[in-house]
Amino acid sequence: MTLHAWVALIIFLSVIAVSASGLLKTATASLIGASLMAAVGIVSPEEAVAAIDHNTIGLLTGMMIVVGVLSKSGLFQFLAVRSIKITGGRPMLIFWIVSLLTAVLSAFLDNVTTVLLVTPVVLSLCELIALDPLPFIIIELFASNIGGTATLIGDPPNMIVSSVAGFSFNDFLVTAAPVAILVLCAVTAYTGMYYKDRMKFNADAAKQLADVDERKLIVNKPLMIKSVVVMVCVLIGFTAHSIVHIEPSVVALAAAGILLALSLLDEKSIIHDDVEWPTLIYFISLFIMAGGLKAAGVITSAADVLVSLMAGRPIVMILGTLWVSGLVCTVINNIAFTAIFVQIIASMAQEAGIDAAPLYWALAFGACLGGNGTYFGAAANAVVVDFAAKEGMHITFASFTKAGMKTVFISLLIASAAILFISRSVWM
Amino acid sequence: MNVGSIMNKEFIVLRKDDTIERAIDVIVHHCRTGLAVVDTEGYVCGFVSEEDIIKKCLPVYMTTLKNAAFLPDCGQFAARFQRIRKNKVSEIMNPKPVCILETDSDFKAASEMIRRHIKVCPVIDTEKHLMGYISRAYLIRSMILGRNSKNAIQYE
Repeated sequence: MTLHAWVALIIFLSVIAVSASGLLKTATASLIGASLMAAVGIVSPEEAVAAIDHNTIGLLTGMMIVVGVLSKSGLFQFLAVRSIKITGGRPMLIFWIVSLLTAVLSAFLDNVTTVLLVTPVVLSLCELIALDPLPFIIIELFASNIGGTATLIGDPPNMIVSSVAGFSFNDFLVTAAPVAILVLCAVTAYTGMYYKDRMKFNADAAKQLADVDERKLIVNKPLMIKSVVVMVCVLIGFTAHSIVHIEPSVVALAAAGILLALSLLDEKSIIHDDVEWPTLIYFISLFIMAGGLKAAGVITSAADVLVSLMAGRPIVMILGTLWVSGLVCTVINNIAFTAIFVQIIASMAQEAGIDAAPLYWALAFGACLGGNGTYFGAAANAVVVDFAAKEGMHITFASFTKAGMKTVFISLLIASAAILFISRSVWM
Repeated sequence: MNVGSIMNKEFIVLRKDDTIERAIDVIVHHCRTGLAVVDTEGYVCGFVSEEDIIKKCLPVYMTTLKNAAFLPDCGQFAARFQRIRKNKVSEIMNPKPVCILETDSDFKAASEMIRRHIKVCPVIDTEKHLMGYISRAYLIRSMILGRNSKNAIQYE
């Protein structure tokens, strides 16, 4: 590797290390890293701008606004309370409902937003009907990461992979959603068995559920109707991509604009509070660093090594990508990993002369499902563990990792079978 | 006018190892909205307000739930108070409270209290010993008293 390549690699690894250690926030660390790459001449300002994946940034921004407005209507929490209420307080039913509801919400909202909406509902209702909230919090966490795997907009790695691989919203519905459903059922069943003894039905306390009036959670009905109509149009726009050829980012941004106009809410507060600017800066910086690594030849060198290790062994290549992505993303931020590894896969496929689609799916599954492994695997994990700690439930790193790694193992086993099935039609 | 001349000089304080229940008793008995926590030498080491106590009796999930109207009243608030009433004041106090120097002007005290949304804050000397309290009520009171001073604007 050249000197430039080594410098680019050191900058990137330093950014990962500094963010992982908590010394600097991820957005700050990556902004410094991207600026350094430009400052030392690894990328020119023009190349830096060209390296930014505007489709992903537009999609993220648009969806942040749409979901932000929709959340303000109270619809999601209404749905959560209504679903739990119909269980009659039976713990195992609540457990499955929390899992399914979180996964479905997470497939369309970002994971942190999902857990921030569902966690308070779960905690408040558990307190009301005298249930230990821990099993429900844990399954909610796992389901948020699994549900995110199902769609193009569910988890940022999917957006990055789809942008490079050219996968559409429908491709995810056909390929990723069935895998996510299988993984969700297996993980919910396993976790349910694991926590069975902590879920004791209290018939007297459960009667309190009848007095819960979830309609009071709908704080703005006209806004809810407008937001649901716009959200349905967004989903139609995503699924009709092959017919209308409008990029998901354009659909999301147009919907955000229309919803802002219709909502009559304060535009400034929505754009200021609901658009996560640090996340966008993190993405932009990451794309610039990925561009830097590519320009310096690091991506090609990594692809060379991987191709020489796995050439002629397609199954090793696919399963290697899946398991390495899954295990690395238990400790390293899956967005950073995906942004770089997706480029390595493109280069590997080009060198080996193979269709990269199965490898892209392996990366998407691994990066999303690996998030359940430890505290650091996904931002939603840290949010919920922090929430739980403030409520007096101390989930230690060891206990989380023990349950989380088993979940990752089950998830990756199912994903391995699915990915081999997918690759059979492409490669064999 | 300096704060030292208009402050409430009643020396009512809490200690770090007082219970939350005692803090409530003292606050209610003396009709205060908050009290300074001082160490054995009279240095201010914290402040406990009504808000700190109420927050401790509310579940953390309320910060994101925002709307609790859907939940029936099953005594959640009282139950949480029962759980925390024997806890130490040090657990809920603000360890770095805003303090006003007794030599500061009433103008500075008023602007600090409005800017930081504070109802009452400890007044200290240069060595951080508690000297008294300044509250919004005392600031307003000082305006009435100041009306009769030589420098005050004369009203019709």
